[in-house]
Amino acid sequence: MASEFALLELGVLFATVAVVGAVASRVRQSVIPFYIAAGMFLNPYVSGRLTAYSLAETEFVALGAELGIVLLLLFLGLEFNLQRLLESRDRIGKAGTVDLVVNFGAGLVLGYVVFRAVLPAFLVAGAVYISSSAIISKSLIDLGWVANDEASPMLGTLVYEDLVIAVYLVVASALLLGGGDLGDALQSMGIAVGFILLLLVVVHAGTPFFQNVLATDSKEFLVLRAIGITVPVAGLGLVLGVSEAVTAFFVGMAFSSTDHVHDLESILEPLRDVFAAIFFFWIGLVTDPLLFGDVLWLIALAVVVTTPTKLVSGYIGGRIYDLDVRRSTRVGLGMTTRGEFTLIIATLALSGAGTTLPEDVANTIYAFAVGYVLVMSVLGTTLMQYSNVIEDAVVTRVQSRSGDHGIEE
Amino acid sequence: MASLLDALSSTFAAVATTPVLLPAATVPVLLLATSLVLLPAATVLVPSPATPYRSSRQIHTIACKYTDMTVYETDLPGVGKKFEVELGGDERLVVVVHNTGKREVFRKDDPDADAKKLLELSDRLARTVGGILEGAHFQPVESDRVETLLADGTLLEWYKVDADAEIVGQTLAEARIRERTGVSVVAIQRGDDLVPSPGPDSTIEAEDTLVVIGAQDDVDGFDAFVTSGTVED
Repeated sequence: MASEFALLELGVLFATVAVVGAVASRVRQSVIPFYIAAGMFLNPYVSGRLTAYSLAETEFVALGAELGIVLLLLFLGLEFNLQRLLESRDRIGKAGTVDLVVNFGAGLVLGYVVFRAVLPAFLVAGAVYISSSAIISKSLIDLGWVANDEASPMLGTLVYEDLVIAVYLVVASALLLGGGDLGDALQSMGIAVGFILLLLVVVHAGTPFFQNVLATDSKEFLVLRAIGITVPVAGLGLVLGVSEAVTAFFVGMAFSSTDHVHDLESILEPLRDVFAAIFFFWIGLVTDPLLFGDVLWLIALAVVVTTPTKLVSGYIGGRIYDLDVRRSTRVGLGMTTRGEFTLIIATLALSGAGTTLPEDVANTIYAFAVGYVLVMSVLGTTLMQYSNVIEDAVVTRVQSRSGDHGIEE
Repeated sequence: MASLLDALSSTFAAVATTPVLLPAATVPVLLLATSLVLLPAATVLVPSPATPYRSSRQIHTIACKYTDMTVYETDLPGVGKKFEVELGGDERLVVVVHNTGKREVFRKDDPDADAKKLLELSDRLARTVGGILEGAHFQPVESDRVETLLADGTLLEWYKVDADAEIVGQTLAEARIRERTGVSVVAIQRGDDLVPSPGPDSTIEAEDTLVVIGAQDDVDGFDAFVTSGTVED
């Protein structure tokens, strides 16, 4: 058994998360920055320095955080539907590609200018490119935008981003966990791609198998079987040098072609929420806020550069969906939020510290990504809440410009 | 998490003794190569159209043209589905069906306006309310025409036969309904009686309700048979 204090410490974690979650919803903000901030407040670097008490990163919390990543990506796979993407590839393809080129491109340039190396630039690009599906979907529902036309380009672009991030994580984990030079990277990527191809084949041929294995009237057995498949496969993926996130995504895709997908979603959702909360809390727990001091300029620079890029790519995305100026502006405002995937990339960057990435670069990227998510999640949610003020300004400006244009003619 | 990652890093540390950063050109090439491998492989995963689970419809708006109203159906990935019903004039009713089963009902003053939320229903409550709206418990007036969509494009419809319709007094064989329209009469409702699977010699009487099945276009064409006047072939 664990020490007599271990359960109490875990209790402090859960109680804190529950309280700050309630506070976040009261002030109409996303829970993610609040979970991170709570973890940061109680960690040895803050609470430990100020008071005698602090929460340590136990093995359980670390593993719980890993389960959080696995479950977040499992859900992404469950809800991912390639056919949907292919059916409307025209508009999603265009809007998504604009989003990819503008934001990933801006991230690459930003990362390369700052770090003068490709791998860090690649990580920064991923971190600033990927919007937060979790926060944006929730805000869409909370604000009632889900019933409006802007929901289509926003959710469509998120689907596109999900596909890109699946491929991205394969590449990034192979580059980071693999060797330093190209040959080693290719070798480890070979193993990774081989494993994923194997997964895809098993998954495709295995739909009847999953269909049977998951067929049960008992909720207890369903949840146990789903977890009993997902976690060992994700673990195996991690051992083979594919990140657990990628592997879980493909397991989710495998489950999504069975009839049980809705049952799985409803039964696993609370589990995902618990472990995702541990993941965000853990991020805070292992982050020394003093590190932000060194990367504050980088965070500020990234916010200044990548908020407008998302605004622009979102606006263009809205126009591709034939939306008017007001709604297209709204799409841009809504897409600025970054969250869980940026943090997963940050965690991945840390795993390359000392081998493929110099230690200080890895730590800088990690601290940057955490600080960046803290800012962007709050900023994005706020922009969505006060969107009508900004929309009015944009509409007036565009109208006056087109008005001037009319006079010139 | 750190312990697992440490273990992993040390496994690979043997391979990577010196941290060398990749030359600029390799990353895009690698990304492209991986996507070329992954994308065709991922297509294999897409469920075939015969798969009974049908969550995959177009993400863009598709309009289902019913006889006198338009319902727009839009996929909301990760959320559920949205249905917009034209209410006459510019008004629209918007129903969002969440994957969780929750329903949200909104109203739009015109197609471009922001939706205003009217109410939110649980799955169970929504079904009950839906049943009441459909007239499952009480039908104030008998409607002339009721339709149920069975599968894509196939309709099951109820038609009241007008007293002076051409087919009154004819048998199904004489009326040649299937030949002329493509729809099949699967039942005849006469007062409180029901004639299931009527044969070719069953007679159609005034005020009968014919239950017919057929493709959307054929059923639309059948409308003329039960209303007053003669039908041109």
